[in-house]
Amino acid sequence: MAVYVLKKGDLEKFLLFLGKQGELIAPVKKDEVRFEPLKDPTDLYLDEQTYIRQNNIFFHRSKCSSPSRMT
Amino acid sequence: MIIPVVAPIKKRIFFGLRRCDLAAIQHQDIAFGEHNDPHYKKLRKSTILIGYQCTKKLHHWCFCGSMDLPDFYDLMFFEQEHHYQIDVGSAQGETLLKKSKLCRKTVVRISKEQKIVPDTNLLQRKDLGKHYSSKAWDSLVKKCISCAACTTLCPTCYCHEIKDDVPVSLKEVQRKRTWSSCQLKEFSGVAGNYTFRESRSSRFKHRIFHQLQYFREKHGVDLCVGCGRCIKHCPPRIDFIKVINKL
Repeated sequence: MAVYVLKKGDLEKFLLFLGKQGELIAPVKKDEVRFEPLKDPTDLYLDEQTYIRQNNIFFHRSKCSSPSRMT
Repeated sequence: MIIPVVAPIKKRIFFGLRRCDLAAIQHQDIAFGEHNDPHYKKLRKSTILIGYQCTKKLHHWCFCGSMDLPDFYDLMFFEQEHHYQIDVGSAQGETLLKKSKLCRKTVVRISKEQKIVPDTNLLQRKDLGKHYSSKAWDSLVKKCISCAACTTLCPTCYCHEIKDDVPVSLKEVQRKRTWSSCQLKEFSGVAGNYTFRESRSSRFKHRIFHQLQYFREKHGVDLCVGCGRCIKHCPPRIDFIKVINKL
């Protein structure tokens, strides 16, 4: 497959472009680092591993109660 | 009357997935694809995956270098001093790059070395089947508090339960899927008040063996991707790598 090059200074523009193609989800640091919809490209945070696993996003989520049957 | 779940499907683009996270998605595809899960399939089909290659360990317990992680992405970013090299993994990814008009094609290839994170080859791979009854597990089991933090944070753990919410009126029953954990005693409970994995030791070993033995026996690849979250965020910091290496 091909390899392309993107200037570092163009990353924000690229993220804005991605945001127009669909919902952009990327690591953001709040209380912890997690994948969330990226509204502002400057919120992108790549210095740490995300705490919350990304696979939750592949499932519909509604209200979630804490496990009630811990042993 | 059965009302199927109709999820609003919109295109989603993930950016910044690490090689371990990408491999975890591939393994979820295997797990949920095996039973042709329609909800998962729809959401995955509408998702573009853009990775970001680590240039150094993100934390002390990363061991992705031991796990032979594949190239599994639409696009993968490799950071250089003044630019990013972007490896194209699918036609969909390349279409996106061309459409952005911000990237130019290069003849430079991504080397094998660029795909490996230094100092992450920590786990000695071996056939764990021979070591199920080893006493070496005891020191780890003693520390385990069955809190299930490991499985809650693991990007590959997919165990879940299906529950029916039945109202008194019986008018509208909802079938719900919730994440579960093999570290909880009731997970292997069945009718007749019997539990297949009653002891903490059997639950603990089940997780390790599912991640590094059983899934490979069934699907040809380890379920574990070496992200190390299960060690980093474990309250008593159970480091199973040291024990496996000593077996």
